[in-house]
Amino acid sequence: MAEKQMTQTIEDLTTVYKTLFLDLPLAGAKWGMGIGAEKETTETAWKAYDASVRLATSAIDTLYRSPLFGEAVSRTLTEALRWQRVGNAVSGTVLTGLWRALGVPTAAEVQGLSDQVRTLETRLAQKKDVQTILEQLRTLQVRLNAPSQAQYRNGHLEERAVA
Amino acid sequence: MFDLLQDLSSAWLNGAVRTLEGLRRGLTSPFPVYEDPSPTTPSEVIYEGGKLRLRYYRPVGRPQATPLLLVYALIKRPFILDLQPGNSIVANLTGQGFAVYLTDWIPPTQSDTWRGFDAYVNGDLVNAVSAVQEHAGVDQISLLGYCFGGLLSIIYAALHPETVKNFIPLSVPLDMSKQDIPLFNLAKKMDPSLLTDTFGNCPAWIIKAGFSSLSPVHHALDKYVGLYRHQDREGYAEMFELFEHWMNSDVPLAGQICRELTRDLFQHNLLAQGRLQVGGQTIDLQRITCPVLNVLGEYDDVVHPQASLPLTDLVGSDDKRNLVFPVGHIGVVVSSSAQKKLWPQVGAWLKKHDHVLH
Repeated sequence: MAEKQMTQTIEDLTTVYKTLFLDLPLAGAKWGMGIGAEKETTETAWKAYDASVRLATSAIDTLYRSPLFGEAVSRTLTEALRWQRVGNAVSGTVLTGLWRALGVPTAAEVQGLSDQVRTLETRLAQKKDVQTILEQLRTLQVRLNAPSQAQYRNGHLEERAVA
Repeated sequence: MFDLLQDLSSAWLNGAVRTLEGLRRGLTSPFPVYEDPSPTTPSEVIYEGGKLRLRYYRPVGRPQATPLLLVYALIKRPFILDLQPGNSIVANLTGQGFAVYLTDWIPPTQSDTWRGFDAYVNGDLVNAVSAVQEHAGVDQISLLGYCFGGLLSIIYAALHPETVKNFIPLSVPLDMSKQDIPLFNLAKKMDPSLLTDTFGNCPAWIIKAGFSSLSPVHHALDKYVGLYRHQDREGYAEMFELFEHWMNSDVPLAGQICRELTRDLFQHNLLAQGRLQVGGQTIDLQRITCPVLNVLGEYDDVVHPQASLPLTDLVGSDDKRNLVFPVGHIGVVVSSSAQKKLWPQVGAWLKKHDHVLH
């Protein structure tokens, strides 16, 4: 696996070098002199670009795999999270009291309320749907039960003989 | 040349704004459900409880007897499974005659930090399966779990095997000793407790940062260059927009399950070793005895194929096989080749283990 990756990296490095310093200037010059096509230049440029992206990705992967980098990131994250906790604790202690004194709700309280509103909104929307269906059903029922216009004569409901 | 630079910078700026928007949403509140794009396939919610909304998609034509429950991951919105006409797993499966049910997870809030595998599997998933059983009038269901949803499904299938008729894990990170993805080296060194002690839940922006870090060159540059290169291809720009919407649809992960996932699965590999405890019970994969079709992407750069393949060796089923398809992690659900070739194969396998309703 590692050997395959190494081969690919060397291949990409060669491609980038060859296309950037040989193929691309040559294709550009030919295009400029009117003996080459634009397509050829564009294709060469994309070839160099694709190889560069693969190279950059491979370099980043190598960095991720490095134990030193892993340790550095882990330590940085740990420290950042510790400071974030200190910040949370300080703001929680100092600001919560201050907000209470000023009568301003805390972010957690606003978040809690906002969550509740969202839940209620969803439930209300569902109830509204049910309500609409019920209303439509009622209208249908009224229409079905109501005598049709043909059954009216001179504004009076015609009584039909029951056989 | 000037046009090319202008197009690229404009595409990149749009992307940067979208990323910042996603970050802002992640920092302030969970991704609101109403911001999902319009669904391709009509559905109805047949159950809502805990942190789960269960969607039902009606089968087309003569229905198969066993309904199919799709268990989606907890960390992004599930609309990727029903993205656009001609690119929807849900429509593909209902079109093959399956009644499809989808777990639409409700993002956790600060009062849900206690939720771990036990709450999601023995609580929400058990309720979801009961709802499907009642709605469809069956005793057993077919279960399909994608990625993190696949992990939940594996745990469910091992704990409640009597309710599962067929099981399809899809791109599931099972054996973490073989998860040869460079970024996981960093995850292995992280202390999840410090993260959840600080934020309660794992914030959506951290999840987004993690996914973007998997391939930073792609996310910062190459995808925009790709958009420029394929601008003439019909539907590419529309698909790009939808896909970006999904990429930014991260939701927070409940504190307890974040700790369990990082510590017990990623760092100590307890599930593959048969030592994971959920709700006081050890997860023994040998208890999964139903037919299993393990589907994975050959070029998956999020879940390494080697991490998924051992599943068939670990389950207790006699009828089991791996189906390796030449796509990446997202390609198994959205690529046109998967729609045309993979999902009909999955449907055929399911039909072979089922029958049509008369």
